[in-house]
Amino acid sequence: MAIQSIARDQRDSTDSSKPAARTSTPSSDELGRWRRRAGRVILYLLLAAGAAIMLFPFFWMVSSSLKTFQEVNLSPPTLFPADPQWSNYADAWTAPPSGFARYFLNSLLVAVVGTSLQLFTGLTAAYAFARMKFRFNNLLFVIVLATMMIPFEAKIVPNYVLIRQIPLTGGNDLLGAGGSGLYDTYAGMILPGVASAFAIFLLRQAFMAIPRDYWDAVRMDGASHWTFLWRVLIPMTMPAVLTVVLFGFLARWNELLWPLIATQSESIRPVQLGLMSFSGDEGSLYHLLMAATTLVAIPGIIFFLFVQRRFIEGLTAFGVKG
Amino acid sequence: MAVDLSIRARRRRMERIWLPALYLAPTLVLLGLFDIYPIFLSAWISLWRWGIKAEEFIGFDNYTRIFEELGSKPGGAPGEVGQSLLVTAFYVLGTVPATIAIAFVIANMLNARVRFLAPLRTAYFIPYITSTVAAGLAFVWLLNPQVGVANATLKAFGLPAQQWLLDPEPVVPKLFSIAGIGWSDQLPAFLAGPSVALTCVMVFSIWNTLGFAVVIILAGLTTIDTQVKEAARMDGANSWQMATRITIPLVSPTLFFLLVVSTIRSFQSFNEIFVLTSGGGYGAGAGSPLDTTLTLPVLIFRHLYERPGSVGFAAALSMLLFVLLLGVTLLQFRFAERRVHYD
Repeated sequence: MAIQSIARDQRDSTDSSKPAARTSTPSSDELGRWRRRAGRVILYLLLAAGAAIMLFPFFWMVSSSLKTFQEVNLSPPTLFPADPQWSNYADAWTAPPSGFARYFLNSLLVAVVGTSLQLFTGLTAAYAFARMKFRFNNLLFVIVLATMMIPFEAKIVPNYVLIRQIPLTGGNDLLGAGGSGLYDTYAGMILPGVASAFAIFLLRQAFMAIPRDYWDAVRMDGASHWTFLWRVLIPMTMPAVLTVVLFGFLARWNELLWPLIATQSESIRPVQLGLMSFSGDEGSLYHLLMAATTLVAIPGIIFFLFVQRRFIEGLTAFGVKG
Repeated sequence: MAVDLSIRARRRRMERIWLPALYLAPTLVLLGLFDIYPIFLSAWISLWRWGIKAEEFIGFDNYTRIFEELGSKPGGAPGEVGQSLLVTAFYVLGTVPATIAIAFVIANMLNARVRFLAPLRTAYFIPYITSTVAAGLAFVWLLNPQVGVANATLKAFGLPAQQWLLDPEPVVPKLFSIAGIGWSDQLPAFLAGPSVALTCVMVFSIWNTLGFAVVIILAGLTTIDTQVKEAARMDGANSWQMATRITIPLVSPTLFFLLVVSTIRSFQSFNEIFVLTSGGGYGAGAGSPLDTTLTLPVLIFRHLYERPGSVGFAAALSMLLFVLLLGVTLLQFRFAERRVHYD
C-alpha cells in the first residue's frame, strides 16, 4: 500500500512536471526519453516476433523443399538444408500425371478469361448504373447488391445441377436434357463467377466520382456513351479498374471448391486441384510436396508484392474479398 | 396502330430503354442465372430425390431427414447434421472473436507511427493472399505427427508428441488432464470443446485471416482524429481508458463490419478444412477424424460429391445454411449495431 502510494505520488509529480519539463532538471527528461525508447524497442520486438510467426510456415515450406528425402525426415529437423536440392523443383514440376505445366495453363486460362469477362460486364453495368437514366435504375442496383448476401456455399449445389442443364451444350437438347451440359468444361468453371456485384459496385462508385461536366463536354462533340466510357471514364478511373482486375485474378487463381465440383478431368483442372491430387499421390514425399507447394504459392505472392499498395487500398475501401 | 415516332422520341426511347438494357444485359442474365435463380432451384431440388437428375418427388422428406440427423443416434452421439452444427458453432466462436481481438492489438501497435510499417503490414498480410491449398499444406507439414516441426518443438521441451490433425479428442478434457484435473464423461459434448484437430484448423484459420482484419482495423484507426486522442491524454486518460473510451468506440463501425464479414465467411468454411484434413496424404478425408471437423459446408460437400444420389439432401442442407446465415446476419445487425458508434 505504502509503496503504491509513493509510486503514485511519483507518477503524479512527474506528470505535473511535464509541462515544465524543458526548464526542469535534465535527468528526469532523460529518464522519460529512456523509458519511451525502451517502450519503442519492446514494441518493435513484439511486432517482429509476430511477423516471424506469420512468415515461419513459408520459410519452413521453402527450406523443406530444398532438402533431400533423408534430410526432410530427420528428427530433430535441420533449420536450413545442408545442400540445397534445386532439382526437387524440376522433379515436382514433372511429377503429377499430366505435369504441373498443364495445371498452370488451365489456371491461367480460367483466370485471364474469367477476369476479362468480369471486367467487361462490370464496366458496362457500372456505367449504366452510374450514368444512364432509366426506370428501375435504383431498384436493379439494389438487387445486384443483394446478390452479395447469397453465400457461395448455398449456390454450389444448384449451380452444379444448373450447368449440367444448359441447353445445346455437352450433348444437351434444346430443353437441357440428355447430355452433361457445361459440366467438366472450362466454360462451366468460368461462367458462374463472371458477374460480380463487388466489381460493379466498386466501378460504379468510381464512375460517379467523375464530374458530369466531362460528359456534357464530350456530348457537345457528339460522342456516344460507348466512346465516353472507353476514352474518358476508364482512363480516369484506372485505380478502380486495376483493383477489380487484381481481385478477380487472385480469386480465380486460388479457387478450389467450385472447380472441384464442376470438373472431373485432370486435364482441365486448375493448379490448386493439381496440388491437392499431387499431395494425395506423393504425400509422403514432403520435400517434393513442399517444392510443388512453393511453386503454386510463389506466383501469387510475387504478384501481390508488386501491387500490394493498390490491393490494400482497394480492400480497405470496400472490405470484401473476391 | 400506326405510330409515327418523331426522330427525337425514337432517340429518347433508345437512350432510356434499349441502351441501358444492352449495357446491363450480360450482368443481369449472368447474375439472374447463376446467383438468384440457384436459390429457387435449390429450394426445388431439395424437394426431390435427386441423383445426377431428378428421380422422385418426395416433398419435405429431405427436411425431415435433417431433423432426424439433428438428434442423437442410438449411442447418444449427435447425428451428422447435429454434429456439423456443433462443429460449425465451435469454429465460428473460436475463430471470429480471437481473430478480431488479436488483429486489434496488432493494428494498434502498427498504428503507433512505427518505421517499416509497409513491410510489417505485408508480413501479416501474406498468409491471407496465399492460396488456402498451399498455405494449408505447409501447415499439414508443420503438424506432421512423425517429423513435423510442432512435435520436434514439443520434444525439445520434453513434452509428449501430439497427433494434431489426426486427434479426435476434445481439447478441454485434454487440457484439464494436463493440469491434473479430472473430467466427467457425463458432461455434455459442447462443454468438452472442439477436437484437437479442429483446434489446429482454427489456429490455421486465425493465422490465415489475421492480415485481412489487421488491414481493415488499421484503416479504421488512421481515420481517428489525433486531436481527440491528444485531448484525452491531456485529461490524464491511461492507456486502458484510451482503448475502451476512445479507440474502440471510434473504430466500432469498422469492428462491426469485420464481425459481420468474418462471421459469414467462417460459417462457410470449407477450403481450410478440406485441405488440412484430407491433404498431405495422411488425413482420412474432409471432416476427419471421426467427423470432428465436419462443418456444415463440408457435410454439403460430402453429400454432393462423395455420396451418389443425395444431391436433393445436399440442396436441403444448402437451404439450411442460407437461412442460418441470413438469421445470424440479421441478429448481428439488431444487437451489435445498437452498440456501434456512428459519427
